[in-house]
Amino acid sequence: MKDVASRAIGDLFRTPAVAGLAAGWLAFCLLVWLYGASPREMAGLLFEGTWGTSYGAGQVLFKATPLLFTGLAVDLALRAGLFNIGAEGQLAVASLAAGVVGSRLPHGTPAIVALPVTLAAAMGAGAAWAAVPALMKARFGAHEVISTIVMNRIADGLVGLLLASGLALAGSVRTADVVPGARVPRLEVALSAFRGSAVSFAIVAAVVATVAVMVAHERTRFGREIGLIGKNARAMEAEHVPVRRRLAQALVASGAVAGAASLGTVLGYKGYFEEGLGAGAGFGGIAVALLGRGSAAGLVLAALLFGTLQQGGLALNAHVPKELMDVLQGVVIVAVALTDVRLRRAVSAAPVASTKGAG
Amino acid sequence: MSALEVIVSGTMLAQTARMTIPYACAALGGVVSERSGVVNIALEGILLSSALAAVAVQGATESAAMGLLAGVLCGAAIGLVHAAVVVWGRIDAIVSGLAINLAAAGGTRVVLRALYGSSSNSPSVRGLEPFEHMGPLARTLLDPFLLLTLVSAALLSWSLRRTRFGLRLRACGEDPSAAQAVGVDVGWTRTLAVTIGGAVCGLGGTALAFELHQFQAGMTGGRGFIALAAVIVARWRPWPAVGACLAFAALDALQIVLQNQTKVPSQLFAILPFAATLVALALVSRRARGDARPPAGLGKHPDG
Amino acid sequence: MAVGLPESASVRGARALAVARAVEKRFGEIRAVRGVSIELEAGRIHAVCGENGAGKSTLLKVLAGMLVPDAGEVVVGGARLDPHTPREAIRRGVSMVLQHFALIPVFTVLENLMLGAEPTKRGALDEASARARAQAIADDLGVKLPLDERVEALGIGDRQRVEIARALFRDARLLILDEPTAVLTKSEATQLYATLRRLVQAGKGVVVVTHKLDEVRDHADVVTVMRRGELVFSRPLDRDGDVGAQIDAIGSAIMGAGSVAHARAGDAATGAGDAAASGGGEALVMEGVRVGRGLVDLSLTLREGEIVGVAGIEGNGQKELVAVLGGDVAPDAGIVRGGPFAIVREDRQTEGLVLDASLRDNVVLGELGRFARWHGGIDREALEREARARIERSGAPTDLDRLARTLSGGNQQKIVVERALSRSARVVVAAQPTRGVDLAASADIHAKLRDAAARGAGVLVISADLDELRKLASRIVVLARGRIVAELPPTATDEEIGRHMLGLEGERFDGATP
Repeated sequence: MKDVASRAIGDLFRTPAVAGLAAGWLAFCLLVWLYGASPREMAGLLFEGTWGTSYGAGQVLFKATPLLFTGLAVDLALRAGLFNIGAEGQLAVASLAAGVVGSRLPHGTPAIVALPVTLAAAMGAGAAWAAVPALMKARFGAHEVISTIVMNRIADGLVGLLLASGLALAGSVRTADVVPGARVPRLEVALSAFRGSAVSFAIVAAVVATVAVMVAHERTRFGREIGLIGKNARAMEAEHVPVRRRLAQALVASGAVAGAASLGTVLGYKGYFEEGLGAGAGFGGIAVALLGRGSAAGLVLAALLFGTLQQGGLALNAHVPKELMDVLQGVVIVAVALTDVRLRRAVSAAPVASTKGAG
Repeated sequence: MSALEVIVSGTMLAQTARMTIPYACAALGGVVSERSGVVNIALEGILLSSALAAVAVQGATESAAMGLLAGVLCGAAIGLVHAAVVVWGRIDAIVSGLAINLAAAGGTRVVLRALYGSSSNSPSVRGLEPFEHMGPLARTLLDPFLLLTLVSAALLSWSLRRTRFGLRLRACGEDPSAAQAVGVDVGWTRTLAVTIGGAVCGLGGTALAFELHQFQAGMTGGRGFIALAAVIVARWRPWPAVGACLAFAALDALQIVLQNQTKVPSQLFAILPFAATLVALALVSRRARGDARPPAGLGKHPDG
Repeated sequence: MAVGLPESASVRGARALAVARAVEKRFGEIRAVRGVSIELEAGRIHAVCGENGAGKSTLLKVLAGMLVPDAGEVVVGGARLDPHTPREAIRRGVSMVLQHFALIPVFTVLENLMLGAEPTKRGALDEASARARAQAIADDLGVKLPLDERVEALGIGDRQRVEIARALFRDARLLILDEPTAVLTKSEATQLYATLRRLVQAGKGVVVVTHKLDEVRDHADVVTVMRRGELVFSRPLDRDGDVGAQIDAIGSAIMGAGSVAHARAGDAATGAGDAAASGGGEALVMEGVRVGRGLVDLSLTLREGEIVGVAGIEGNGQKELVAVLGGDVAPDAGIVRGGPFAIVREDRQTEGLVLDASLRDNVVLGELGRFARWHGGIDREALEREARARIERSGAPTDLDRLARTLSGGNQQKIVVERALSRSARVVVAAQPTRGVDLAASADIHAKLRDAAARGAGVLVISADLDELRKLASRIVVLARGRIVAELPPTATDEEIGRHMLGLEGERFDGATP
């Protein structure tokens, strides 16, 4: 009996989610203790600052919103076997586009026009930014990991450059306010429990988008084809599925979804874009995608977990540095990957020029 | 001086040489690791962590040699972690690399705050300057880091081609299952390769920190990633990788000069090395045929 | 370097070089090897036979230290193999040549020979002594080894010789070869057995895994038969007795009683009907086709209802032929007229199937466009109907949600063939349609190809297995150096076809051979 029980517990720890949480918790205790604080006390503070109050919960949802979008974006590319490490840069240019377009619409533009136009601009910018590595992949077989990383750096510089050369309000690094019609209302409008918290209806949009994309993976030609390409590109090539084009399209689509994360930051929170807004969400999205891979529920839960860590980091910052949470994120990623066999087989790095034609 | 004069001056050349060091060390680390078949995007995190380790230990011991040793050991240790997780845990090397980079970015800030109560930079340290009384040229040429880098490149290049370990390492990178079938211990060979790669990369991080005489949060600024691109551009060969790094470092040095000398917004020049990397990647990938291909076993585990 | 010892040194009282005792090996639910005991001795060519999945390769990999058994023990060189690793097995003189060669393509032959057993001098590789040793081995084997050539530039026969030389380089006393002739032509196989015989005469032990009973008949000293993970028997072949009867007994042991008759009956139905259909229209015409360096000047006509076999040594343009008919590449010169085409590709695991996808996805792979509506959504009912119909015709397990990976090689191949044939193509191109497929599934696949021809398609079968071509085709064309060099009736002998494959017939008149 005892044997059965201990084996059951052992199996439990071998499931990715539990292993991730357990490793994260151990690392948290260890790091906090090394830093000279009391793990129990800090855990208490962490809970109070997040799920302990409705305000805290709202803040977690607020932090989780862009993470869910970028997580969904990274997951989309991952299905095709592509590692989109460029969500960070894609989101940066998308946010700038949202800020610029949203603020230049005529002031009275109704929401039914303003919001879609602004969102389209953001997603278009994200897609365009992803199109560069996508084309490099399709045309030259350049590995998307390196090119998307490099594109992140270029996005950093370019956003700063564009803000400095006229897109920002004079003497600042922010755009003008977007028109009221382009703003996503706060959730507190509908649910007074979230009063004061920055969470907006963008979280609802993010969840809906996640479910929709997951359904599309199953039920559309594009979704199914990229999934099969991710599992064996050569076989699809042999069947004359345009593999390279599909890969490029998947990366561009991923960029567009990453760009939609500006709903939660520019349109749902600040109401304008400023340099650095949303930074980190792109990398966080990679963690979300790895943890929640393959299912809508997984992605949502992963986004909530990392949202909790981020918000919790802020709650603890007076006692231990909030960057501790980045270390935790790394530990959780490794623990999850160690226990998730799917991840090992499906993601295993495709050789650089794997999608080149046979001839 | 005009921008042009600065560019052709010895100062600029010396600057380029010094700036090459971190790139080149990271790239050499990448070459060893990837030739053994383990993708290494953790170079960025290794550079950053070893820079902090070097500064912290030199600050504590007042000894530059101890600082250097700490930097190299820190690099080796992170390389070992990467290898352990990838080779023995069999997780994807890109996932592990990302996690390491993330943890290093956050972890260095945590340590910074723990040690110095600041989350942006450390107090300054003396660094390693044994030839302060000499002229700039001699100082550059005899720079211990430059010499160590060159020695590392020469050693790596030679041992990859001419030693048993090198032959086995390359075999693991080309076809781990085949290597295993003839009795090569793939796990051990790769672990050693990635650890050595980490140590060399750690040398680069130390050089970077000593050059600036302090640690600053995020001071590597993507050098690890550019180094990785250099590895690809150089087709996974040590000396060409150093050459590619020299080119990227020259752009970097140029960027600094131009930033100080002209009125063009600084961000434009900051983009320059990365834009060049992107172009180089595109050009090189286009020609990726014949001799010039990545190790065939990159990212693959042996069977069984 | 005891390779070329004089005849007199050949071992009389055969000693066991490696012994398996009650070895058991499981892969998940599957018991691949079930309590098998076997002794492998010096001075013999030992053939291990059995259908695909009978556990032959698994057993031998256990003996070579490549797989750790779940139970039982392995004794090599008089002591238990411990640690159970390839390295230790090699150290004790047991080397295994895998079906997919374990050579590193970008390494030179010399580097490949050295790898894992490198002589060193003062910390560096001692290339000179490795070279001398390699040369001596090549001389003993009576072959030439291009030591400084990269392996990727070598043909398949050469690579195999490198593999064998490599085992000898590390003093192998027992050499295990996993289906060494699967990719060889008849004459290459004969050469290989001559080399192996030399080794055996020098006192080494040789184990060969094979499907081919004619090889057993011609070359084996001892035969072991396995079925479903179990040892059926292991005994010497009595050369003085009735060899034919012994081979028949081996055949029925491989198939299990009863099934032999069935498989034989299926095989016996040769392409007799094809001749009648040969009056059909042209399904495919190729004239002066050039593709890269692989196809030089290929002309070929395939009529509706006809099965044509393409024989040839691997690497003489087969790959390019499939590529050009499959539409992967356009010909550099010449005309290809015909189609639509359906292609059964050579490597089902990498090119034919998405192993981690469901049978549903695999059986309609690449045809999602047919089921897509204007908005990109898939008509799932139509897809389900089509997939169900195909899987039921295929003869593979009909659970559409099952992953392709979980099927046996034979069933995987049935899916690939069914998919190709479901596309009502006028030209069916099948490359190595039954390679590595067990006899029963082979018979099924052959029947399907015949049906396709009977329904009016032109069928082109490219195969290294001349028996297969003879069984199926109404005529056999020989592909050598990128051209069709001969057209022969299915009654042609191996030797006849072989001469054309090697280009020996060249410009000579028929019958003028010395």
